Amino acid sequence: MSRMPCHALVSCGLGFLAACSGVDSATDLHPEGPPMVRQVMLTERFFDGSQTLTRPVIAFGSHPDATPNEQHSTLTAVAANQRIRVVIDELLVGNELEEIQCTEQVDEDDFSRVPRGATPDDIARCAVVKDQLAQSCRGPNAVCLRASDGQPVGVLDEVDTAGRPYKDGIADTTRFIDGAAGVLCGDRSIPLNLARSYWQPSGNQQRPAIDDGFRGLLSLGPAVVLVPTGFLPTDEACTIVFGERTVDKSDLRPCAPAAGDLLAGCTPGDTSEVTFRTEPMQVLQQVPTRDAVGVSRTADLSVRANVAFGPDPLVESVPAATFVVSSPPELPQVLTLRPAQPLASTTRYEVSVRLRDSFGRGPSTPARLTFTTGN
Amino acid sequence: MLGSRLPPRLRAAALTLGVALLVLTRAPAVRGQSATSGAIAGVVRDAQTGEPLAGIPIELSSTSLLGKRAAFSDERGAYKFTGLPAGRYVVTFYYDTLVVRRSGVVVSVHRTTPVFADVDTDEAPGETIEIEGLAPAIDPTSTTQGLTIDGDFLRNLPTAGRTYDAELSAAPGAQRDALGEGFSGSTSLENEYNVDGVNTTGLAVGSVGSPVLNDFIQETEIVTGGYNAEYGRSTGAVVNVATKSGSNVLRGSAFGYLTPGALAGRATRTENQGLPIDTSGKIVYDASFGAELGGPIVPDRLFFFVGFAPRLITSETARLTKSQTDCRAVDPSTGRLAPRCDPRPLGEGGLADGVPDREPETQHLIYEDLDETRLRNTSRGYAAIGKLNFATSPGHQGQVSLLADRTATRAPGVFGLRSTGRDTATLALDGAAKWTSRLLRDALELEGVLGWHRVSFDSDALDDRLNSTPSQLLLGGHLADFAGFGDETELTARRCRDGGADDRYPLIANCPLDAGAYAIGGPGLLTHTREERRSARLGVVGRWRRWGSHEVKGGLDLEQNRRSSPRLFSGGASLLNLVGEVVSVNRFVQLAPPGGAGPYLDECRSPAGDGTGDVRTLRCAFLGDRAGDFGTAVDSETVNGSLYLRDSWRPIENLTFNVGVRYEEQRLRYAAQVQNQIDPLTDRRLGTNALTLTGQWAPRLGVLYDWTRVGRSKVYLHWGRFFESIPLDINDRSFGGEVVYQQNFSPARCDPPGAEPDPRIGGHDGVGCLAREKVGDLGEVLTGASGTLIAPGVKGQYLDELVGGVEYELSKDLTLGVALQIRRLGRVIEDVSTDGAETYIVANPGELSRREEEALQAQVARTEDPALRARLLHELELFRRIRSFDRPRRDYAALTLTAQHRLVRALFLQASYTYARTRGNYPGTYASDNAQVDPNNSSQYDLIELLANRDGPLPQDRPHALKLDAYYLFELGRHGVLAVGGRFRAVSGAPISALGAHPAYGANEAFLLPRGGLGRGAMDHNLSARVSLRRALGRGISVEVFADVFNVYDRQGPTTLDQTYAPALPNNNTTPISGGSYEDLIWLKASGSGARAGLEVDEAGVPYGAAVGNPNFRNTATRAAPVATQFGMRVVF
Repeated sequence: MSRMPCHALVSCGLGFLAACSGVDSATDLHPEGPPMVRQVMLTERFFDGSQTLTRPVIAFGSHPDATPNEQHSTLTAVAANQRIRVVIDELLVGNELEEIQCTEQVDEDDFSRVPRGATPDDIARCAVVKDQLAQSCRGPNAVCLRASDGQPVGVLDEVDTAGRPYKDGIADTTRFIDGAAGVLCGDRSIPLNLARSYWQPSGNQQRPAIDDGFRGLLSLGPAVVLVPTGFLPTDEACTIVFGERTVDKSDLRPCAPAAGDLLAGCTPGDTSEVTFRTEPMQVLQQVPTRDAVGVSRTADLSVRANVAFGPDPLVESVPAATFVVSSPPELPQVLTLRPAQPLASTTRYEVSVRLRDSFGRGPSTPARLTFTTGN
Repeated sequence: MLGSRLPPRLRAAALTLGVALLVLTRAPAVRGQSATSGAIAGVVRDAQTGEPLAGIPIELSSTSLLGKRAAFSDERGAYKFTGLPAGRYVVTFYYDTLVVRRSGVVVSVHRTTPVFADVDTDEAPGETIEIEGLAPAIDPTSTTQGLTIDGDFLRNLPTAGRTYDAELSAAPGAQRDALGEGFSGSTSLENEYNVDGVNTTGLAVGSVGSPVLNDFIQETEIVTGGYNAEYGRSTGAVVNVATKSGSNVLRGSAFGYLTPGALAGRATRTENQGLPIDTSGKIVYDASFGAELGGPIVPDRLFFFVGFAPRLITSETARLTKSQTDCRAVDPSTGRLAPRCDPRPLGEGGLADGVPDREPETQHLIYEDLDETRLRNTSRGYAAIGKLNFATSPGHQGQVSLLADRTATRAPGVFGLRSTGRDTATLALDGAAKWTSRLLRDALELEGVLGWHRVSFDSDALDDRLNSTPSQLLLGGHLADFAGFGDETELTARRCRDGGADDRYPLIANCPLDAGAYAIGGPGLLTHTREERRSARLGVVGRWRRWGSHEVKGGLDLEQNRRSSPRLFSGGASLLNLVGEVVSVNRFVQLAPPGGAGPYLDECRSPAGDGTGDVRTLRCAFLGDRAGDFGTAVDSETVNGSLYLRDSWRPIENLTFNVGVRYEEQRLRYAAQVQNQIDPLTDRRLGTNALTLTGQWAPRLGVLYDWTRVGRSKVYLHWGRFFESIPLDINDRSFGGEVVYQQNFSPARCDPPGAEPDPRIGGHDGVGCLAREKVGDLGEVLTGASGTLIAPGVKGQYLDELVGGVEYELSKDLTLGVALQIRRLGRVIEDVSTDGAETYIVANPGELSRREEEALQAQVARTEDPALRARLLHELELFRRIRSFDRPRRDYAALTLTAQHRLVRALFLQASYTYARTRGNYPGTYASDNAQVDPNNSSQYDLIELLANRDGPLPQDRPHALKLDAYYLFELGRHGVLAVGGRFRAVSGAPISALGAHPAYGANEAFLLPRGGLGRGAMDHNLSARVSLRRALGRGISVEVFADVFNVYDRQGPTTLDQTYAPALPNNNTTPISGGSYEDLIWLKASGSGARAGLEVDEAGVPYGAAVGNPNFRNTATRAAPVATQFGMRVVF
């Protein structure tokens, strides 16, 4: 990281020894100006020469310590199980990104926002046993107040480290605030898994040298981690957006400079520079394998795609055959074709399945299963 | 005295003649001086005209001097006596038959006391003018800052310790850390301690090496800044101790001190919120007694001084077991706990709700005391001194001395089995031989000193049989389980047990160990260290006149520092058993060099470190538990050398320029056992010297002006550079091939097949995992310093200092001063790792010169061997990354106001107020944040990610410090003298940080928020007092009794606070929030928190979630000792 100019630094005193003490650090963030997106990391699918695998990759911005595997020009973001890490160059106000879990329902659910200015001491004061709450959990920074009567219900604080409750005065569970940030693919706003999305204030642009417990570039921070509830639309251009209330400590909204270059600057709220394209819908596996012979006349056919199939997939067969088409609820990427009647013996079939994801997007060419039945 | 019965005029004439003879013949008066000495200088003027008087005979006498010295004033009226032992002197000036006598001139070591004389030549001939009162206290020739502690100070003020190091806190700018006294923004491991001119600084880490008994000391000088070129090897203070010497008169004393436990206050309990055991210490008695005696063997030729003082200390550790409670509720009307405690469940009308009770205000757990046991600790020791001073011919004098200090302690284990305690024995020996010659009518002085400092330190098990048993620390679990080992009382075992008839609180765990550990097995690290320093010093002082007066001093010194410290774990291993979760087996190992033969019969496995996740297997040998076993020996050595030259030039009598330069070198050797071996991890051939520091030039420039012209004022400015002397710890650890092999096991793998967990542990005994062939299923890793590289072009650690100030003697007994001191570390030597702790590099963090880089590139280009070329390229890349590390910074700026009312009649007062700031990212060679004591190879710069948030107010940043020492003497006529003295100290609290754990480095390594970002602790203050009565018994014998009361108002305020925010629990790894505020901590996430339910798994499959906190965060960790009383008695003859 480049060194910051001297005038931006805290201490330039004691000038008799040197012109400037220079207290900037390679681990500093950049709180001046709007918060800027430095990197967006996501999971891509790649072929390693023998099989298709996934790996994290920098999709926006760059990092000097990134290996070619971690940063390259062509990538396709996986549309399933995606997790998008948006690394910011300064701290955002966590209170506008996450809320904490209370011991019981406070409004429509049991999560409560934390007032800006609250400290861990305020949380601890509201994480006491019930009979002490009224005395301890009060004031402008009190949390987990029941909306109906303003009474504190207590912060959920029963973290278990060794087989028993351990009250440490820290909220056990936080949840991402709906709308604080999101993923936009085409014109669709992608629902987020609020329990799994989170704000990580730790980290800076230094890649931790020890991976044990950290994860290389995945420890860059601070970061907003966005986890879609389901699948992303396939073969679609996506971006990330931040809610109106998502700000830094100067109340400036995040934005994304071109290529994550801080010197390029950006307008608060403008994240349009962040773009990535999702992978097209494709078949990862099919049964029977292409041009298989001796296939049982009653056996199920199946196609496993990279994303969930949309409703009412179109299936055609030559020669004609009727299939009962279904997807297991736990495996929506798998389409099972069960012959309504036994197929003809020793006959070559070509069954085509039109690929459409849950957003109705898919390639123009259907997937084809070609096989020959047995006796 | 000569001529005392003669008529005045004749007497004066005789004295003049006598003095002249003294000057001309330089009678062989032995100077009973210590190896450190002071001087008297001044100018004789005509009181009428102000003109200097040349050729005036001047006589110097003192009981310290043993004999007399004499000189004539020169053509400018100036004179100087050097090489004077500390003490009180009488200076007599003879003008014709007029005698001017100045008494009460105090000489301190390394100070020049100004004694100016205005002789009224119109005075009646034959008259003797007595000038009473003290000579000026200001040294107008020296820019040094600090304090001198003399016998009066020790006699009339409360002395908490029996050795000199306990008194160092009196100096302005002194601040105590956990290991001693630090000065001027430095840590306590950066000082140099000289005893009789011999360096006795601890060899391993730079601590106090030889704690000399106060009763054997003539004077202690603490130089905290502005020191001249003859001093070096210190980035803290220089402490000079001058021991007592014999004289022509047989003198001595017998003394005794007693601190009875019965008069000590009750220690305020500091409840440990994470353990079911609290402890508090209490003195049973601290008794020391002894005698010292000095006198002539051959009058004026040979003197002796001897002393011997045993010390016996017995203390008790009260070990209190306690149970959490579940029987209380808050009274909603008051918000306070209702007095009722009903352990029945809520459903049965009681108040037990399954949640441990806590105080509403503090949220501290409410415990119920179970049982108390008292563990007795003993310390037995003695201090001894023997010293000879002699003169072989006029102007040629010598001194030899030997000091010994032995302490043996025995302390049972507290947080665990008593048998895990230790026997410790220390013996410090210091020998010194000094020779001084004055030549060319005192125009030339030569001084040579040979020194020898040796310390042996042994620490092992209380029961020697346990030296062959591995230690095992049990983390987690319950005290009731551990009661099975037999050291918990029956009551504790019964009441801690969950379930059963005696369980008062069945809905909660009664005695869990949430933090801390319970120790069983052997003592762990065994220590059998021998340290030795041999030193030689030669100094030459010459004086001449040219454009004023010059005093030029030059010299050299050499030190050979050696340390032998076997690398031993009791039983060859140390176990960390996170009960039910993981067992870590740690061993010292020696890796086999390429093709190495020998007993490398074991296998050590470790991640390949290339990001592939592969494991590499190396041949190695597990080290044994006896000194002498294969691979255990570590013999370290460093050789230091220095040269210096300085001129004190006085173009006019009240203006002094001190110009000097010092050159230092250090050669740090590899441990003897690895010299000229091939490092198995780096493939480098290790030579003899691991680190050679040359080119350490340290200039010193100072100027002083005395506007009163009579030594009652000075305004001064001094700039200097000071290099650190690297202690031997780095030779042992970084250059000694230390490798620790850690194997982590699932606990069940420690049991033989089919075996049940040990009920005494509540899980599996880690001892079962000691089998050599076992493979750790949860990972194995080699850590340590085999594989340490030295960055090319490493330069010495230094600081620059600017001091300035004004001192003015407002009246003859009151001196006021203002001093400014600014210090900045210029460069630091620390180990860094640029490849994830795979390789450590001893470097200057943040620095790698282009020239060195180009030289390496050229070497790579010249290399044809592909393997060697690849290795060099790899190293070059590692070295380049050093630049990305933050440069260490420690900036100290202080303003000190001082007032000193010297003892003339009854009052002595010494007061200082210091406003100081110490900021930066590097506290010093003692890392007090995580209590690591590894100078120059600490974890502070190991990993770049650990540098975040380190900049800020350092632990020694305590802006306000007020120090007041005063006593008053009441003359009681025939009843003697009553002295009442007091000592008051007040200092700002230390900055508070929020610390987290690193997965590889452990607790308190990550600054979660910017250093000191959570304010500071409360101001610490205390008052101690002494009352003493001295009475003469006749025949030169007097007796003195005294009583000290320490911490008079029994303020047991916090001395340290718990700064651990996220403790080192399994998988509670946290990283810094760069520039974060306390509010941001609410959202801190820890990784790998798999032990907790409901956590998510991130992109890499690692669990993450809210960090687990420390309920004790910011609570008191340690507090000041309670009020205590010490009685003493001394008979002086």
